[in-house]
Amino acid sequence: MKLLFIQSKPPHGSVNAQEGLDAVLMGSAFSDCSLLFTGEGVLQLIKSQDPADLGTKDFAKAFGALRDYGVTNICVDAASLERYQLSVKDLAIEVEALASAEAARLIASHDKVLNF
Amino acid sequence: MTLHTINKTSALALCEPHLCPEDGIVLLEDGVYLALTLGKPAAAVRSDVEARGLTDRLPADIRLISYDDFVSLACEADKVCSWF
Repeated sequence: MKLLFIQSKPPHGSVNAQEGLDAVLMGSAFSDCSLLFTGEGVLQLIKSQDPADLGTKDFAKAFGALRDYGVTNICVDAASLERYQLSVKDLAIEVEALASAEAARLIASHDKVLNF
Repeated sequence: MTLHTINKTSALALCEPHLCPEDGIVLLEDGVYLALTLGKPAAAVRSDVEARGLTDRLPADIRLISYDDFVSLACEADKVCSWF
């Protein structure tokens, strides 16, 4: 079973981003998991975020652990990066940038999709 | 075939770039407002459309469905991808 987790919300305004990350880490224990960041979800990956003063957990650190959990197919929607004037060099982890049509094929190639 | 569900107007921008030609779209809750401007075939949940007074304003390529129909479409699709 191939699972695709989609991160589509910004990191600190709601729990979606953290819930999605927790879910993919959990999912990786029993399934082949991929991760796609699209829309405002790409903002989760900006380097040097520091939510200490918000009093919330710095969950973005766990993005660095994804590969250790076997989640190696980590992609971002290139058009979303461009919209926020970001490049892959601005991101905290190594990712593959996909054109929107390639991201559509990524969705098509998985058995289940979970959007956070 | 993926069935994409959209439940608010702002979620269309997330969904639209990731549609494959063979995919289906279901509009529900506030997402049914998108039926007025979508410009492509989609299904919209009737009770949500009626609640918002849109029944007589829908383009011909928007098909009204019940929540039971929605469940059937979800079961028939390979997978469901919800955008919100």
